[in-house]
Amino acid sequence: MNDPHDHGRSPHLAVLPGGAAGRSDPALVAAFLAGDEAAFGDLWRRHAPAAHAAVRRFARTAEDGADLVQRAFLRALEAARRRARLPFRGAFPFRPFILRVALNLAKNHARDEARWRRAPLEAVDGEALAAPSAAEASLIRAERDALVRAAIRELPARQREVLTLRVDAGLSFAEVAETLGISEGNARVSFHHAARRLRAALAPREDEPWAP
Amino acid sequence: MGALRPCPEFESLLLDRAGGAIDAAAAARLDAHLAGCEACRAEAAALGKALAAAQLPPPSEAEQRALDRAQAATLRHWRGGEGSRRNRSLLQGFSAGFAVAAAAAVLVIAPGAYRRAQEAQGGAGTVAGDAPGAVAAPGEAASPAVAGSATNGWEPDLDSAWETAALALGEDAADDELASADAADLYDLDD
Repeated sequence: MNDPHDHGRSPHLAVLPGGAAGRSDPALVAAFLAGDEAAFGDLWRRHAPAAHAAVRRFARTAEDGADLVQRAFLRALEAARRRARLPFRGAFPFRPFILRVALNLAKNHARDEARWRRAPLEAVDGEALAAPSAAEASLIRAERDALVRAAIRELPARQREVLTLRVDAGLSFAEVAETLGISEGNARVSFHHAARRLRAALAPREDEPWAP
Repeated sequence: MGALRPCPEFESLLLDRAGGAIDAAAAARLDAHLAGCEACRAEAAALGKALAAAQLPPPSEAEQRALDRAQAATLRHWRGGEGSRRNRSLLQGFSAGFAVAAAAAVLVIAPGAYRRAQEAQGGAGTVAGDAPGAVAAPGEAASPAVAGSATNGWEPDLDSAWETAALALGEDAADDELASADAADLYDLDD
């Protein structure tokens, strides 16, 4: 969350909890491994929302999404435990690790399911549905969202990962880069490519009534 | 579809802004340009719409409930795994301790037992052989009490001790294999 270039963040790109004040991740992990279960609660509150956001697009049901987060946590904790046994160990990068594991598990899950989850549009369009021309507007918007989702499905894997972590999980580009093990510049370029593709998916619809 | 194309030199800034990652100076430069460029304004709006459409809605109540349940379930799973790891660790410790104790016992007892057995054998041989020179060292070996202690009293069961030690070490080896299997599974992060 500490991207110095992230001024003027688009209002629709949420930032999820990640750098909450209090004990550091290594301190929380060490405390939990030593038996402090309150530390687990802190870790969960700090990282589960982002991990969940990263897997939601790949999960078919609410239970699937939660299960993926649970598995990612268990793997991250297990890896941290093993790292703690090493004599010359550095700090375990809990957040990048768990997000990376969550993303990998989610991709495997989606591959196994062999289908893409449709986002519950009614939750997005709650306000639009209240407007007088709600029915038509929501249909048009649903069509646009479906176009974009189809375009996301077609993105190369790296671009989709960057988009998921940036747009869904609300990570800064620095965090996206750390999670994926790439440079921040690479993360930005991948995002640019992805955004261009999504925008191109909408290009034929520019003159439709929903356009301002 | 609008026929106007955005200015190439501002395309990167438009994408940075759409991604919510543009520094203040670049933002000011872009704003100044947008004020006079309809094509770039249209492009900015199109990018904004595309990324807004790409966003997922906030988690539903059902998703949130499932996530809350997962928190407790994760802790429960960890405790369960931790319990079996602790038991395994205790077993490993016990096995290793037992193996060391058995080995130490063998080292302490075996030489003495061997010596006594040899002495007992030597004593018997002397008697059976009727060697006249054997009087030089009848000593303790000829003593019925000592001879009896070597032949009829408690004898260390070396085979049993080694078997026990090997069994204990074997359990450790099995646990090591199990741990390796766990590790292999843990790091199975295929893309």
